[in-house]
Amino acid sequence: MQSKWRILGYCLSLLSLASCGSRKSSYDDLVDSLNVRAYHYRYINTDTTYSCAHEAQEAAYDNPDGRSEALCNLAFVAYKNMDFDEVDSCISLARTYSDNPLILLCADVMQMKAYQRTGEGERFFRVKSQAEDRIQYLSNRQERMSDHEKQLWVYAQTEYYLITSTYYFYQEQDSLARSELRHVLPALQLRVDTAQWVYYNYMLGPGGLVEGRDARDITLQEFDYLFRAYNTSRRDSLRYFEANCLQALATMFLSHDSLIRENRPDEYHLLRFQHHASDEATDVFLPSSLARHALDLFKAYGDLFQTACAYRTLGEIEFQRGAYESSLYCYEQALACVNQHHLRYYGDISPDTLMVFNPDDLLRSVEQEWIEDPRISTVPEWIAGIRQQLSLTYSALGMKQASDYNRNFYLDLLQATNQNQELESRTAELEYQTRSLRSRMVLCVVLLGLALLLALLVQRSLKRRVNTSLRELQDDQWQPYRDFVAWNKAKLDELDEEREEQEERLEMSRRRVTDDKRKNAENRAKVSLVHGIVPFLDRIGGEVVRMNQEGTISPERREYIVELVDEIERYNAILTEWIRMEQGQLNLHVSTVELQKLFDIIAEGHYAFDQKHVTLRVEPTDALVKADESLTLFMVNTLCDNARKFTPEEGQVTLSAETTEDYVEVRVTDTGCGLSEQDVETLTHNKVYDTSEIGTRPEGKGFGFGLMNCKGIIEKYKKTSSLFSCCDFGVHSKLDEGSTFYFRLPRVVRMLILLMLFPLLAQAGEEVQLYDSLFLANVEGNYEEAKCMAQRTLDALNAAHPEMTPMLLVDSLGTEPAEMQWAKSGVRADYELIVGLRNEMALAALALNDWTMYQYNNRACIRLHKYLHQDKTLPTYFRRLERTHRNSNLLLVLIVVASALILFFSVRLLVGLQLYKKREIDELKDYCLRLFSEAQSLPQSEAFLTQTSDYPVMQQQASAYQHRLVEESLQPINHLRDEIVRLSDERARLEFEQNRLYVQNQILDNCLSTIKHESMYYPSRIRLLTEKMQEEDISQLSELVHYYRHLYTLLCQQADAQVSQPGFKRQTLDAALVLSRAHGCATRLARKYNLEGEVEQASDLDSTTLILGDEILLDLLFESLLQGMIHPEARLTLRAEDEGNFVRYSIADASIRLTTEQLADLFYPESGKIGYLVAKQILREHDTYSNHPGCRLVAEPRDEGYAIYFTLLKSKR
Amino acid sequence: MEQFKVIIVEDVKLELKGTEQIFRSEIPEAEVIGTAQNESEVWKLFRQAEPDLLLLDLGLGGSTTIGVEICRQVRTRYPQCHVLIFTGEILNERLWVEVLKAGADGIILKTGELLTRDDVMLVMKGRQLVFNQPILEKIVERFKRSVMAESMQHDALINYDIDEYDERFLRHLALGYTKDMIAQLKGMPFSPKSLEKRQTELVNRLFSEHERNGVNATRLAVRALQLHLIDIDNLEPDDE
Repeated sequence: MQSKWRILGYCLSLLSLASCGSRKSSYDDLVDSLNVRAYHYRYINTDTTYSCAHEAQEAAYDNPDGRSEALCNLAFVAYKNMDFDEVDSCISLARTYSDNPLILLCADVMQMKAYQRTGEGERFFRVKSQAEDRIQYLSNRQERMSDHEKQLWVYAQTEYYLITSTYYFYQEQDSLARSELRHVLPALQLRVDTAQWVYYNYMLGPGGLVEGRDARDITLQEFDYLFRAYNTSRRDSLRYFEANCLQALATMFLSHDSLIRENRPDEYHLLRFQHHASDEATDVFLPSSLARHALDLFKAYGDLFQTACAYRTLGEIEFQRGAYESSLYCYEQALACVNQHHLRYYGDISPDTLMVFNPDDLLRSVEQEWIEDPRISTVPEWIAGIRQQLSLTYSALGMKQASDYNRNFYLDLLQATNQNQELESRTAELEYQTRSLRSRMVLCVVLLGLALLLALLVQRSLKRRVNTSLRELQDDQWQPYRDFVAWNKAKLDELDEEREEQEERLEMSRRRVTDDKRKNAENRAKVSLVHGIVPFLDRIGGEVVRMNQEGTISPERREYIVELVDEIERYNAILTEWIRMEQGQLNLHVSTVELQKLFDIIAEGHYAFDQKHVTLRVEPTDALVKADESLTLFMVNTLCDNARKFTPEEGQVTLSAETTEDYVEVRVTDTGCGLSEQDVETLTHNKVYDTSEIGTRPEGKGFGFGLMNCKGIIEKYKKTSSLFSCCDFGVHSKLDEGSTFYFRLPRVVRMLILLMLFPLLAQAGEEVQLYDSLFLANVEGNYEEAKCMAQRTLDALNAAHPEMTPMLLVDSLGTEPAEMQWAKSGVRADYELIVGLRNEMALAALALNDWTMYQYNNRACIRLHKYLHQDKTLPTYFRRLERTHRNSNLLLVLIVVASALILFFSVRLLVGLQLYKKREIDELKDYCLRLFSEAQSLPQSEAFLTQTSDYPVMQQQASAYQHRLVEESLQPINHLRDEIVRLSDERARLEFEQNRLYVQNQILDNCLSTIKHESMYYPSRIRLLTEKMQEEDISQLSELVHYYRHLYTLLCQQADAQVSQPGFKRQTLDAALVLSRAHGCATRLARKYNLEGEVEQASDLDSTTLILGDEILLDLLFESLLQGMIHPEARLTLRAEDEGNFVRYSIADASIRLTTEQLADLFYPESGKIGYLVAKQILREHDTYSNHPGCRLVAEPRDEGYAIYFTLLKSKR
Repeated sequence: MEQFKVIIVEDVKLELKGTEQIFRSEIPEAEVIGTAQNESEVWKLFRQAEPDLLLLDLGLGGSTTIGVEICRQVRTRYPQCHVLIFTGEILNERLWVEVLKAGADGIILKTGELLTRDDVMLVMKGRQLVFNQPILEKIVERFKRSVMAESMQHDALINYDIDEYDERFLRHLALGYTKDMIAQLKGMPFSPKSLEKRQTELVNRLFSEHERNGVNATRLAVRALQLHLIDIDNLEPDDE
């Protein structure tokens, strides 16, 4: 076939030499028909394309358009052979020959195709913007095109959209890819082009670019597209597309076999028939046979790239069937294709090839060398895909080292392609800009220089003249005033800025205080819940006492005790649930802490030691620790306070720190009375003890809860992360010889690199610490543990955004990972951490041979990574660049005009200078007069001013007046300074409060979990004993109950000690405003729950009604109640009413009725709604701190639905 | 003792059960005519029949101190009815005082022996201020402390050798008088100079050797208050 055409070509060229008359048209026809033929064979057989194009190129020596067109066809062949240098040279030749926009468009499109494959984004977009312009230009002229031109036009246009879409598709920008594809069909209507039509259908096939109702619908649609493409390409023997479609179908059948068999039976059986005909076995695996067929077609077509891809697909199919060995073979073949390509074009530059596994040199990455060498072109993502599959297969074969080898290269390649794209586009952007602007810049600079020189000359002569005129007026005294005005303005600006900054920081502190205060209120509510158990304990105690008195066990009493125990257990369960729910909300704020800073604070408090005549010695330290700063300060402070209390006069307390390899030990040593061995034992080993029994102080024992709290904090560190495993708390002491209390924290090495390793951790956040542990677990090979850690990390991340679809550790492969949705909808989260987590999980899954988990996590990792690093700005950037070009031209014109203007005005100015001298004097006089007139409005101005026309007198008066002005203008500065001091004081107060609340919350948290842990066990013991009890066991029960109560009281006391510090801030609030704030909160919630109607609001308060309350807590009160009441059908009304000494706020829901029973239970733990308990606690605090008992919080039925109301005391002010 | 009618106000069902059992087994004279779990139920019961004794818990539902209000209203509307508070508010002493002010006959804390027949009977006999052991202990402790404070003042006056003029001098210092002003007082026949000397002597007496440094008039006056040399509740100036 080819030779036939070649001969025909020669004959024709010979003919053309002979007959000169009709030469031109017949030659052009020949070139056109050769080109058409070359084009036609592109996807069928590139050898034909090559030979035809070659002929055409030679025949068209004086037909530039035809020659360029032929070169484009040659470029296509080079593209298929992945000879990218050749593509470039063909295209640039084509551009030099022809200036026909249509041919140039074809060249552009061909080049885009090449850049798309090599992943050169910046070049791609540059050519794309060119092509875009050409398309716009040509679309107005398409009516006048010849038939051949129309064919080219349809090809170029559709190719443009298809390639752009492909590019976006690989960049994970699906919506852009989709919108490009939409242009293809209209363009195809102009003229039939089967290859492009097939290409279009194929693009929609496996691409995930189809939109549909659900996953099933999408899959079927995709199948339809693919099948259509397949059928047509088979009919027209478009080998390239036929193979591609088969490959895609193979992958599709791998996961959706039954779906397609059920819904598209005809097509399914046709496919089976076509690909089984040659096979004898009837149970042959359809995907394998499809893929194998694709492979043969690609081989025949001679496309190395696609052959490698087909091997990869086949490998994947074998892998899924569990035939790991044969899958490994496929990947080896795929890699061999890559090597073959490399050796063919770059063998002389670098003879090294890729190996599936090289145990001798694990670190050398040949592909990395290729990428870094600018002379070598390759397709990194091609290799990446193969490496990934190799790593999987090796893992399945249990060859961990080989698996890791491939996985590492895979990740490196991904990283490299990303960096390439980013770097390339950025550096090229810079270069391009500099080059195009440089020439203009030079011109501008010269022009500006000239203008400047001129201006300088003018200014100098002006200045000289002005100076002389000013000297004439003896005007030196004006200068300081002018200076002052300038200084004053600058200072005002500066102070204003400082004030703004202070205000911002204040706002931040305010927010933190609000957060901590809300947590505090919840903790207080928890303590109340804990206290709620005590009456039950007392009841049990009472029952036991009576049984003792009666000497018998009545079944009634037995039953009652069991009921009480049940109730206690229910309360405990609620507390446990509550604590569990909030886990992760109260994090340690871990950062790198300079101990010396904390020591300095302690040293500042030496006054308390001086008072007691105890010496406080603080040894300087340069240690850095990883810890929570506030809590560390609290611990040091507690230990020092204790030491001061227990050290007699003339004693000494020493605070010091000692650094070891891993940790820093902070010590507080005193010369006090010391502790007995038993006390030391109790302090270090018991979690709970009676603090009043510790110590040997003559004036009484009693240690307070400080040490217990410190110990709790250290335990909390240990629980947080393995980083804190070195933490410890302890005491060395001997009676009469003093004691040393110490705690240990992890040390931070004072080195820049290490500090940089920790920034993630320094920002705190539970998820970061969890991720840290996950990473460690993976490094140590504890993959199951890593899995747990990953789950917990995801839980923590999900908890932060309850409104979003939660991220899962593993899900079906078709669904989009939730984090992609997060990222696309702009949710703020630590995505780099998620990428890392997915990668770690993929690794763990590899090691655990859990393929679904691997696939899911790996895909999630790659997709998110690509999404995060994609260059979203490229398309817009090029548009902008063009505009800049236009603008810079405009600028040039403007500069020229400006220079001319400057010149003109300079001349005018010089001429007018003589006039200026006179005007200067007039103006000064005028200024003085203005000053005077302004001064008239000030009371003392008469003292300065008298009506005079004598200029020197006037001047004297003016200067006295200036003096006054200066003083007055200082006032705003002073005012601002005061304001700044006020703001920074306010901030310092808030920070202090926040710190206190934070420490309090942490300690309460510890106390509560201790209570939970230490007392859980007793109720069931009591129940057991009660149920089997005989008369003689009563005393045993009595002891048990007594001990339980004692222990419980001790634990409660520790919590109470924290709660007794008031967090309540009494404020006088506008009652109506409180309602409208609540209404705002309700509206927000209503939106969240998609409520149909508006939240109503009604008030009969007048604007002067004030109440006593704490704004932050009241907000939380409303929020807690609303959170409990709201549901999608709710019809809410908020109301505020005057009620004598009280203001009554109510929230009514008219949509549902609650039974009296339900209403009665609302404010007890039984209701299971923790928000109501918080509300109850807040109201109780309002009651206590407004010093007037009687605030109500009641749930009552209404005619329609029910309502909750509460009352707050009015302020008398 | 003859029969009497009781209304029990208690919001926790399980506790109510225990309390009812106590009445049943130990105080058979009492006829429990109704139990209420919230404020509105209380008034409903009162409208049906007026009891002789109201056993009242202070916290009901979400309202944790509403018992005080109920007690006050029962006292004014049904003066014949005795009110005995039975509460778990074991720490909130202020609430005890409030409810006594509101007219309660006594307070029984829900701890220790809980409710006993004796306590109920005392109330029914018209006894005021009926408390159970835990609350009595607290009251006595408070009482002791205040008595101790008084006796400490006497002791201090003797220990620190404070005479009438010292006391007057310290009291007026605490009230913000300057030494010149104090010298003008009728009861202080001294010059400012000798008052200066008196101050130094007082500092020497009230502060130990190493504490004396830098003590000014304010610190001296506060020290006098701390040592109960002057009575903060009786801080009045002399007539001039």
